[in-house]
Parts: sequence; structure tokens; C-alpha cells
Amino acid sequence: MLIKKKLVALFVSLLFVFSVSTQAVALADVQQKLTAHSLLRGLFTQTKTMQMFNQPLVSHGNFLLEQNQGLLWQQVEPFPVSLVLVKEKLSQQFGEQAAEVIVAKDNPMVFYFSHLFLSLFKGDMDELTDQFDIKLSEKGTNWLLLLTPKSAPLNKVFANISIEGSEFIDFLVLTELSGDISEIKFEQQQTTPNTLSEDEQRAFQF
Amino acid sequence: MNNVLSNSKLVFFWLFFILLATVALVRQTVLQAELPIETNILALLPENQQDPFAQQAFEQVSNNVSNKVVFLLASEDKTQLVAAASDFSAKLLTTKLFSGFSAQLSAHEQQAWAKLYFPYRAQLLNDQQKERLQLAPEKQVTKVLQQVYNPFSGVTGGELENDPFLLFRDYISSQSGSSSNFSLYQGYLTTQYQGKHYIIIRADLLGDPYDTKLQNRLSNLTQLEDSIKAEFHVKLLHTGTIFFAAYGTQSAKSEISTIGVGSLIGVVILLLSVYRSVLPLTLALLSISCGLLVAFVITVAVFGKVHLFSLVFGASLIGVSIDYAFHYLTERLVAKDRWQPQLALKHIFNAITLGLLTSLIGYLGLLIAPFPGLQQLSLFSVVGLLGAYLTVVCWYPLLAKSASKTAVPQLRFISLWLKLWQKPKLRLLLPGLLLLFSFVGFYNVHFDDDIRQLQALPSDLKAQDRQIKTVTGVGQSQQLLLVKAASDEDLLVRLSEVGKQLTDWQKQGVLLNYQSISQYVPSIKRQKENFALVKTLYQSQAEKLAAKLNFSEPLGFDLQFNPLLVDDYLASTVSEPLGFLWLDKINGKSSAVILLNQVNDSGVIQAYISSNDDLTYLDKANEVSTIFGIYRVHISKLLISAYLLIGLLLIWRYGLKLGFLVITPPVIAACVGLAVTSVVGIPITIFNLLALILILGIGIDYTLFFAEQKEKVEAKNTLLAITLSAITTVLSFGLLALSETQAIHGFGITVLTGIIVAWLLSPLAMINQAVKG
Repeated sequence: MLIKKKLVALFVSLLFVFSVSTQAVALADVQQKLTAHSLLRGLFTQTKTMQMFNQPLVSHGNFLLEQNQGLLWQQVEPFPVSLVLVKEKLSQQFGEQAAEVIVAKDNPMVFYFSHLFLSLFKGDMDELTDQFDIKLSEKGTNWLLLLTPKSAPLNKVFANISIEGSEFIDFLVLTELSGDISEIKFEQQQTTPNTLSEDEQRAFQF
Repeated sequence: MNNVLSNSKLVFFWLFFILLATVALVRQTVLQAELPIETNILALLPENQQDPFAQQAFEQVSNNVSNKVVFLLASEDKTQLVAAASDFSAKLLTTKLFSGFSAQLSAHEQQAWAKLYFPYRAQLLNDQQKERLQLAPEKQVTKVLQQVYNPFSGVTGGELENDPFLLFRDYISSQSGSSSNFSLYQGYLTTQYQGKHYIIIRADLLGDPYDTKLQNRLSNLTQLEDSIKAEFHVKLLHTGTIFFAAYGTQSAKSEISTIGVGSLIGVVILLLSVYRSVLPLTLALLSISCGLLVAFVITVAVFGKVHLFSLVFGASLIGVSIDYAFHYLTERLVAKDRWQPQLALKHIFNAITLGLLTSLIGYLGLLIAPFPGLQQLSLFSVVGLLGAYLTVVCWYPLLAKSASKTAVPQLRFISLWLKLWQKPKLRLLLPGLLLLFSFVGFYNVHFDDDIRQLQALPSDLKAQDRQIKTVTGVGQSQQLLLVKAASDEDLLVRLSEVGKQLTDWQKQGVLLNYQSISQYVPSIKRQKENFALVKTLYQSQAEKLAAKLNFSEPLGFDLQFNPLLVDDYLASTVSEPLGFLWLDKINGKSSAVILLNQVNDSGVIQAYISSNDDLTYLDKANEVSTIFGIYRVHISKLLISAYLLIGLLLIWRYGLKLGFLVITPPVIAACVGLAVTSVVGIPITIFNLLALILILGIGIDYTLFFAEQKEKVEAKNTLLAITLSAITTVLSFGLLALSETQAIHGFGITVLTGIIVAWLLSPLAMINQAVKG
């Protein structure tokens, strides 16, 4: 009897250890996948579905993520905009107009969200676990991270944020409490060439 | 005179008075919850501000600032840092030092700004927005499109519905961005500086930072800080008035005891080694304690409290008040069997009375100065000296009835020194050389009236304060600009005009930045302008925007104008850090303070202020320093007149030649004292001039006794008494020179050297011997 009890206890604790470790391994796995490539290029399609709009707002363009430098976000449709997000600065260039630069120090609120976006995109688990409860599951052959915000101000706005992918990030979905949804789909991800072109390099220098 | 002295009524009167004073002392100290000792340095300063606005502003600002304590936690590891901040703030109230603190902002507090401004959003535009809406409203549409598509901007449906032109987010972020470089991390205000993460925690003191009871609880805080530092391996810095005040109290206390105990021990050793008997010791201690007793009691009765600073100076009074006792006791020592207590008093009566009078002339001059600090100091000294003098005159003949059995100590150097003075060469050469030296010293004199010299600032606290200011971006120094206007609305308009000028100067580097209520509450005039612009924006651009974004419903503008008032701001929690800048109305007039951080070019701002009647610089330290400067000149004049007055008095009594010889040694002593102080590199302040008063008072005592002696044998006794008194004075003031407070340190050095010179030159006044010898 006693032995049986002990066995059950052992089993339960083993199960517990096991499940924790699988998740830990998998999370680390996802992070490892997302950070494996120092350079990632691809196309994006953003669809914003809001109650205020008759039709969803759709935009297309291409992106470049450089692990150390930051993110280059070039929207082509419906109008050309070039956004460059580095650690403490954000540059916006609308068409051929002069670029507008926002510095984190001057505008911490804007950067709060920009930083979050970058963390989501890069799979920076250290940053994310501070602010979200993270659940990892499988969706077909893809992995799916479901992030539920823990504290204000995020939990006042977002119901949850999900990231889905296989080798790269494929989908990023932000669901607001109001039911409005922003979805970004990533396609044709490429890891080569694995160096920045001169133009790209210049884009990060501002 | 003999009758007056022997009158037993006087004896009893003094006894009665001393008993009364003892009772008063018990009432003032033991029976009070708190000792009547003031430690706030500001209490030393004159209060009679001409301008009631300035007075109110100064009080309100200093109360608000001085009751705050700022902590800064630093670590390279953000997780550890947050854990440390959470543990630290959870235990902060257990120190019993604080009434409250702000560490982690609640969701409610985070939204306080938005909550305050949101209902008035159509009336609030920053300068950039206003310009855009005036010149190119269509650009606002482009800006909205850009942000809605921009995935990093975080524009949500809810926001767009309430504020389709996205004006509010820019206004709010320009508001919070203007005053701090902190951002929120898990509710904590955090920032990064040179690779380290910082969390700021602010706390409000439970009471007055100068309250010694509160200061005593700082040890609880130190314990807590140490445990947090050890447990989480974080750096923990703090700053606040209480730390400086506590340090000031501590150092003043230890200085009082060092100086007091030091000079007392010196006196006891001296008395025992010279008189080798208990009676003289008892008598001397009696006159000292009677002097201190009445001085303390009367000062408290007049001023309500005694400032620690007065006590530090007062403790050195021991060295002066003992002089009267020395002269009497030396008479007794020398007289031996021929001892007649009353006769001895009669013998020295003229000399000590003249000595007292000259000292009183010096001290009473200080009473004129409108500094509570100096007045206290002067009252304390006057009463203390009178008390010691009366004890000698009233009680000594009664208490010292028995003759001395001790042999007069044969101090060879005294005879030698006196012999030297017989030589005419020395009589000319020594004073001449000293005078020459003091002229050289005067060449180096450097005046400095900065009040801050009165404060002992420990370098560790200063360094912490500096680091906190650097990290938080507050700037090294803060100055206050007072703005007055006829009404709240006029004031807001004026504040924003001044703010515009300051913003320009900020860009030019004249100052680091500034804080003003107009940054948070625009004038109604401005709000109306903004409202009109926003309304026009909706009328001209709403359709365009709705078409571009495919809005399901047309955009309407349905907000009514409803002014955001200063009172709304003050009622919100957001006004906690800076609401004190807005002052209560005086006679229906409004006024507010602008906080200037780190002014690099004060000349520019000074010129601007003096060309605008409604602006005043509020710089208590500078103001007081200016007053110090003025009084330094006043006191110099007073000092010269005191010397002249005393000189005339002496010439009247002793004739031209002896009178001149009596006044010359203290004058040279004063010059040398000042010269040495400046040669050593200490700037001359009002306090060094006070030292000159002391040198005059004490130095003239020395020469007077030489002038008053009738026979040659007395010269040795006189020099003995003078030597003893000089040693005690040097002992007590020499200890003052050890003070950490620069002003007291300089004072000590001046007195120290002055007294030594006065002692050296005092035989100059023994004209009788020179003639006979």
C-alpha cells in the first residue's frame, strides 16, 4: 500500500518534471529557431479587421530582420512607407519625403509598443515572459505560441497575441479585447544572402 | 565700590537668579518632549522677506522638496533589480520614516494623465500639432494613415473610434516625454544609463527632515538598505534633505562635545597643575557653568530654541569666561598668607569690568544684524559672559575665604619673556614685523559670502546626490523663478510666454530644462484656439479620412468646449510631483514657480528677469549670500567703530601713550589672525569678522591687566593669569578649527592665531616697567 502510494507520487512528480521539461525544451527550441538566422528577408501581408472599417485594411511589402541591427519594414501597397526600427530609434519615411526619426528617450510610450513588436518578431522569450503568460502548442506541423498579457497597460488592450511558424515565423496575430484583429502573414522567407547590401546597411544608419 | 561688592544682597540676588535659571532649565529640557535645539540651517537666516509671494513660494517649494526622499536602485540584471525594488518597497514603511512612497505605478496611476486630459482632448495640442493644423491640416490625414498601417504604432480600434485623427496620443506622449527619461517596466519607473538598469522609488517623510527623532530612525533605513544590497546584489543610492540634515546634526553634536569636553578637560588640567588645589577648580567650574546656564536659559526664553550653531560657538565661551576666574585665583595664589578676599576683588575689579565692557561692546554690535543666528550667538555670549563675571564678583570673595597654600609655579619662560620686553628693539621689532606680515596677508584676502559654507556636506552623500541627478536627468542644481499675475488665466498665459523663451534657451544650452504648470495646463485662450483648429480639422478633413480608411460610419465632431482648469489638474494624482509649483492666491493675485534645472548661463536669465517686473529669481542661498556680503561690510564698519570707541575709552582713562599701547596689541592680533587665515587659503566670511570681535574682546583683557597693574612684581602674576587664559582660549578655539564646517573651521583659525599674537604682544602695555627698568 505504502509502496503503491510512493509509486503514484513518484509517477506524478515524474510527469510533472517531464511535462515541464518538454515545454521548456520546446520553448527554447522555438527561440532557437527564431534566432538561428542572423538575417531574414521576406514578404508580409498585414490585414487589419476592425469594426470601424467596412472592409479590412490590407497592406503588402517586404521586410528584413537583422538580429543585431533591427527591423526594416518596407510597405509597398497601398502607399510606400519605409520604417526602420533599431534599438532606441524609429525612422519613418513616407514616399520621397524626408525621414522622421523618433528617439525612444523622447517618446517612451511609442517605443513601448515598438519594442514589444520587435520582441515578438525576434522571439525574445526573456522579454516576453516578463509580460505574458506563454502557452506553447502544436498546430499541424507548426508550433503556436499563445501569449496572454499579465499586466497593464497590455492587458487593457489585448486579449492575446499569437505567433505561429515552423522554421520561421509565419503568422503574427494580435487580438484586441474589442474583437478587432491585426494579422500579419509572412511569406517567402529567405536567409540568403546573409550579409546586408549597401542600401540596407545605409538604411540602418540614421 | 567696596560697599556694593560686599553687599550680601547682591550675593543672594545672584543666588536667587541662578536657582531660578536652574528651574527654567529643567522646564525647558527635562519637562519638554523635545529639546529646544534647532538644527535647521535655514532657521539661522533672516525671515523678513519683503515679498510675501516670494516667502510663500520659498516655503511651499522647500517644504515639498525637503520632505522627499529619492532612492535609485541599479543593476545590470533587470530581473534582480525588479525583485530588489519590490522587496525594498514592501519593507520601506517598516522603517517608520515615511508616510508613503511611490514605487510601482498601479494601472490606475498609469492612466491618470490620460484620464485627466481625455475629456478635453479637442482642446489640447502641442506646438507641433498646432502648427500642422494651422498650416497643412491635410498632413494630419496622412499621419493617421501612416500610423494605422504601421504595425509598430499600436493603434487600436478603440483609440481610432474616440480620436480618429490620433491627436491625443501625440499630445500625451509629448507631455510625458518632456519631463523625464523614464519608462515603465512592470509598473516601475525605469531608465537605462551606461549599460545599467535603474529603478526610481520616491518616498514622503513622516515629518520634518530636521526633526531629530525622525533622523534617529535613519538607522532602520540603513539596515534595510544593507539587507537589500546584500540579498539582491544591487546598488542602492539615496538622496534627500533628511540625510544632509541628519549629518549636520550629527557633526554639530560631536563638535559641541569635542570642543566642550576638550576645553573643559584642558581647563581642569591647567587649573590642577597651576593651583594644585581643589578649591580653584571648583570655583572656575562654577563660574563657567553659571555662565552657560544663564546663557542657555535666556537664549531659549528669547528665541524659543537654541540653534546648534550657536551652541558650537557657545561651547567655546568656556575659554573666555574663565578669564575673570583666572585673575582672581592668581591673586589668591600669589597673596598666600596676605590673602584678603575682598581686597583682591577690588584689586582686579577695574580690569575685569573694563574687560567685560569691551567684550560686551563687541558682542552687542552683532545684535544689530538681522540674522537670527548672529543675534542668538551674540545674546548667548553676552549673557554667558555676564553670568561668569557676576559669579566671580558676587560669590568668589565669599567662597574663597581661605588663603592658598600652594607655591606659585615658577614659570621661567614667563620671566624670560617679560625680560625680553624690556628691550626697546623688541618692543618695536616684533609688532612691526607682525604688522608687515599681516599686510602681506591682506594682499591675498579673498572674500566669499556663500551661505553653503555653513553646511557640512559629506562627500559620500554629495556623490550619491550627483549620481541620482545625472541618471534621472534632473540636473545638478535647481533654481526657482517666481511669476506673478492678476488672475489664474493671466498667469497661465504669462507662464507659457516665459516657457517659450526658456524652451529657446534650453535648445541653446542656457539651461538643461525646466518645469512649469503651463506645460500641463494650457491657458483657456490657448485651449479655445486649439478647439477651433480641431473643429476645422474635422470639418475639412473628416470626409477624406473616412474615405481612405473605409469607415463604416461618417466622422462627426460632437465635443463641446469645456475648459481644463488648473484646479482639475491639482485635483488629479498627476499633480503630486509638481503641483506645489502653483501657489495659493495672495490678495487675489495668482503666482506660480518655474523650476529651472541646471542653469549654465545665469547672466542671460538674470537679465531677462530684471527686464520683467512680474518675474523674480528665488534663490534663497544666493539671496542670503548677498545679505552676508552686505553685512560683512556693515560688520567691518562696526568693527572699526568698536575699535575706535574702545580706543577713545582707553585714551580717556590712560592717556594717549598708554591708551595707544593698550589698543595696539589686539589690533595687530586681529590683522595677523585675518592674514594667517587668508594665507592658509580660507576665504574670509562674516564669521572671520566675528572672530575679530572676539580677538578684540579677549586681547584687550590681556593688555588691560598689564596697564592696570601697580607694581613691578605684578607683571609676572598678570602674565601668568593671561597665559592661563590664553591657553584655555587657544584650546577651545583650536578645537573649533577642527570643525568640518568650513565657516567654523575658518573662524577657529582666525581666533587661534589672533589670540596667540595678542598674548605675545600683551606686555607692550606694561609701560610702568619699561620706564622703571
